Amino acid sequence: MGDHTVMNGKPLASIISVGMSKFGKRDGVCARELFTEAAIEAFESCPILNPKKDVKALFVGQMGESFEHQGHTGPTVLDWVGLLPIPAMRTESACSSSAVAIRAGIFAVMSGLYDVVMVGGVEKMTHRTTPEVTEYLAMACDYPFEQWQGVTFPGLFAMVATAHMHKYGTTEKQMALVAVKNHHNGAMNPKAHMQKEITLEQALSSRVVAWPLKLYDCSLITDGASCMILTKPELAKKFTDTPVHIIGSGQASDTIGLYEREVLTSLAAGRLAGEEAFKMAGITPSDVDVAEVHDCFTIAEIVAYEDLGFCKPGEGGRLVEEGATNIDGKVAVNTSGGLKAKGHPVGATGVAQACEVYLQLTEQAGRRQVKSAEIGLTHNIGGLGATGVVNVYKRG
Amino acid sequence: MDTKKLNVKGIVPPESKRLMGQKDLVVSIRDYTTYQFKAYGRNSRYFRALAEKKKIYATSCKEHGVFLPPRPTCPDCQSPNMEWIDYTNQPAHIKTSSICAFAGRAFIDEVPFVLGFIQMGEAKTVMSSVVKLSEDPAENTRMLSKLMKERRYLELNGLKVEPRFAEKPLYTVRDLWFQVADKNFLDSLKETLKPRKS
Repeated sequence: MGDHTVMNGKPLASIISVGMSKFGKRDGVCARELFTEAAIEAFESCPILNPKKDVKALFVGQMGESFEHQGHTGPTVLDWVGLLPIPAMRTESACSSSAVAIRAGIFAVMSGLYDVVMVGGVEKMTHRTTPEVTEYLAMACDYPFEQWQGVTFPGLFAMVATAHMHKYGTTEKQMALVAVKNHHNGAMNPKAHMQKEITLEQALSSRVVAWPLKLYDCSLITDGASCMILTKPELAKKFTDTPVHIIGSGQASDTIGLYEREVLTSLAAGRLAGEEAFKMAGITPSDVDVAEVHDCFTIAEIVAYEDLGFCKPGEGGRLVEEGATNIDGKVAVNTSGGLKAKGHPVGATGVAQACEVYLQLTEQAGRRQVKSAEIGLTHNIGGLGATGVVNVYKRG
Repeated sequence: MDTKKLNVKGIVPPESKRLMGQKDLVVSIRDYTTYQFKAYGRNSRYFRALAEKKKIYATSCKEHGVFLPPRPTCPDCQSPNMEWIDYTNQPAHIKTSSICAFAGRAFIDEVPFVLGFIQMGEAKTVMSSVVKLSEDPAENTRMLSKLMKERRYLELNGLKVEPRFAEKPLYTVRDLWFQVADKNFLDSLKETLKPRKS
């Protein structure tokens, strides 16, 4: 991690426009068409932008080139969006593939090499059977010692849950409340995969996937794409009256295998990334008004509260029980419905989280609008926490 | 590792047997890349016409011309108003080609075969497709082997071809291939083939 630049509120890059495809089971549509859907929304939301003239590079995240046996995502989606021949590359870090695309976009803009770049993510995965998708996603786990044990993501996160319940007394009810909250928020998000509320009883009585994680504790296999246009901060006002500035960015890595971690009740990569982002932005966790965190499983959101410092270690379950992370709570977490209800197209999630924060900070979140939101945060984890990316955003 | 002692049949794919002789332990427990499964999106129209009507459809943009394989939106102006036109009977010839002597796992049993870029009509782009010299696989192989042996690769370029459609289509690009239609070329090549030992 080392020395990090303390920017003290000075922006690294600015978001001038966002776009998202409808998340869900998109039969008959392929990845490049999904990405075009997101890109068109981003272009149309910013009429001053002339994409063919202004956008200088593309960074797109996608984990599963094997889902469609279509690799080299960069130029492929670039062609469909009509931006050939600018440079394009695909970034990958399992479930945080597009969060690292944001990082790459930040590097590009801060380096001075490009002034306007497009970052995004896409994933098309529902056309495979669930066991196949599960097997494929397990590629983010350690091959020699984890994958061939019958390891699945629910299985590994369930072990984190059991450890958390053992150490801190977190209950199944507290985890289920995360799902109820996120479904409540997702029902107000027209782009979400699942737009229906669930009750606590439904969540607690759903079938077990890997104890204690039940069906409603697990995020969805979803198709979707997301995209964002980033510019140098000084150019943002040229394109839009409502830019959102990225004022802090952190990323950290951890062992690929869960079995080699120092503790099982915290994802260090997320925690360290958060610390770096807060320090760079010159803020503390209590300054955050709205956050999109990685709730691939309900326990992951509880662990995220603790890793990001929204509460002390072990108090995550109580935080959601008190309603402190509802839309009208102390810090509104996952107002989009999170990965739980909005959906988790792995490659698209990182940028989709940033899209929601952008909408919140520019008062375009409709019925899920958080009042007077000034500071936003995204927290995206790759695999079992082998990668953690946290960005902090401020209304421009 | 002694492969004879292990019962490798049915567990290890044949090509991995080569790996089993290595000094460091290498496991190949089972094939990972399974069948391919994907959606054609708005290109579905092309594949349906190919499989169900035995027709080749191209798309045309008023300003930028005809594209084959079709592009549902124009690659030059992103206009979604592309006209789908029937290109099946357009004149076609081989723009360039290669006789493939090797292929990926799915197609390794079919070598040698010709991969060609076919120019149809006025299309701005070319069709990538398998080209056959003969419908009989054995004769096709003999003809290609002769060309390869005598290094006559360039002779295929410029030859007229005609589309052929699969009897039992699978809704993939392989429902279509092209047959060389230059009778003089085919007849003279057949004449030079060595007679089979009877």
